[in-house]
Amino acid sequence: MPARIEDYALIGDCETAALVSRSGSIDWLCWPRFDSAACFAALLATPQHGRWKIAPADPDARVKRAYREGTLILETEFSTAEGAVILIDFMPPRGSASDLVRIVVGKRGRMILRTEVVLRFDYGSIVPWVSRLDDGRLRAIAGPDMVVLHSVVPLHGEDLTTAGEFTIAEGETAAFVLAYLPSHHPIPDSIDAATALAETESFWREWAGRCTYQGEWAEPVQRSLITLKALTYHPPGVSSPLRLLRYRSRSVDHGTGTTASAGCAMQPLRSLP
Amino acid sequence: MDAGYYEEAAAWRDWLLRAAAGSPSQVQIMYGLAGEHHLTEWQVPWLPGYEGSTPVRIGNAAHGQVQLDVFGEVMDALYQARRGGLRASAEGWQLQRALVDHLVSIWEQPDQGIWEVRGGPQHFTHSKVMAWVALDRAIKGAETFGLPVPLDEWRALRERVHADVCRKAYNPDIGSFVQAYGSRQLDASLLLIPLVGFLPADDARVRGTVENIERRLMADGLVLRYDTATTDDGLAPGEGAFLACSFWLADNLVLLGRHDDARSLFERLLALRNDVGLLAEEYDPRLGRQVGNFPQAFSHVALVDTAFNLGSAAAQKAARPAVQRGRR
Repeated sequence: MPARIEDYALIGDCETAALVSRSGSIDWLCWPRFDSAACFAALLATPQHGRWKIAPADPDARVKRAYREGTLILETEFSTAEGAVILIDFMPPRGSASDLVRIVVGKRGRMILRTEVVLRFDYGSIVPWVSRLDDGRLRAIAGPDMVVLHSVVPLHGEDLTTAGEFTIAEGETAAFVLAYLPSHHPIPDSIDAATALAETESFWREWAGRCTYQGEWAEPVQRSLITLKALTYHPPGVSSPLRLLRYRSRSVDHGTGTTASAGCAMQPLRSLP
Repeated sequence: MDAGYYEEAAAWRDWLLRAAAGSPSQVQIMYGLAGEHHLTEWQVPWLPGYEGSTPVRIGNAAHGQVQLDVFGEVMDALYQARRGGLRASAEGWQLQRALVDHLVSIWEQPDQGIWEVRGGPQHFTHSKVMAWVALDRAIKGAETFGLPVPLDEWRALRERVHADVCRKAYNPDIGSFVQAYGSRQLDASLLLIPLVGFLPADDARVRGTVENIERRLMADGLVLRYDTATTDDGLAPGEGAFLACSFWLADNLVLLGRHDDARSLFERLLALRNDVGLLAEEYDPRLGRQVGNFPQAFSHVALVDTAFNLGSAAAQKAARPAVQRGRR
């Protein structure tokens, strides 16, 4: 069962975006473009249709989350009596590949976490071929699509899922980098998660810092502008705002269909001339 | 541009000109990311849908719809861009001229309307208002920047469209503008009438429209798009309050000088954002949750607009009403 839509947060690299639930599960991601087929489609189905979860083994852990100020970097804090960790999720401004980075940072005590990666290309339908590269990274490939997962945590396959359990103590970090490439491309080295975090933070801070609004609602205005920027397809020289997920329903118990569409409708632009 | 993002505005303007380039009769209400024209809609039979909401569709069949309001949106955006100091191209102006020429030939036809309803074409009031906006901005562009166009002809048509709307879209029995010519339905898109500069907010007909919407088109203090029980939009009745329209109501309240009401509505809307500040398209007051597109650019654009409107109203309190979008 996916979360309520408002329990999702958005991360993205201005060419595509992912939805992350409060429980640390990335349930929607079209890759490499907003209008590509989704490789994580659990939002519209089940975990078996693709998702990537990193969450405490303890299902009762408390959750608190926020974006790092002036950025699209999501921080989800999980805490229990024994410990607390922060899960940092972001997509760096695009380099040679498109990357999805997740970093777990121990803040207090110790915590056992589990990660589960279910990759299903083409809107949850295609189970990819998963193999281990010589350098230990996992490669999943199917048709035109390929993703490469770098994990500092040992992972194993179980029931068409890639999973691992790990413990994080105060001061420790564990980083994961998932990169998308067309399947015929050579595989580059994985990016360094910490460097990518610093670069992504300065990218968004610089962008948000250009905002000239000086009224009393600076926070909601800035958050809205960052969201609009994240929803705008923006490789150099292109800019088309869109809606990520069009869930057309009259009420939850009266659904009339779900539309996943990426495109530019004119109306959202009324006053961003 | 209001928030200082000129680079993005210029990139979008250029994208729009590329996407809409070609025959004006083929201009679309939406395009793909790179300006693609075909957004073929298909269904994904193996996905059960969000909370079982089937079918799951990819793409959007609405790309083939005719919506007159698009002409107004495009002309307004290009006019604002030029006013904002973005360098205009001769090609861009030629496209605008071609769009106006095309609009002249089709504005009297019925269309699908802003909500992309699938219940068949009608003479939607908002569409005609936006046809007026297209002409108005084209004329202002030509006047301000000394561009050579048949100004007298365009001005006469702008007058004709205005008179047509005032005659056929206003129902004196109800004391309100209505959804479509001859209809008795209300529609939240009528809140844009003063916001785009079609009529001043203190015009009795506009005031009456706002009052009617406040009385009959709201749920739990938030605005509905239209009465889904009586508007044939091709979907089953009943939907949440539409957040963008609720921000427009706040904009109207600002223009009417009802600052406290505007402010409390705005703060109510801010409180609906999720824990990380995101808004969907709609809010269901009955279930107390967000529904519809998520996150929704339309809602966030409206939020930013209203924040600016409230800010400028506060700065100029009692001096004059907030800046109207069409007057920026």
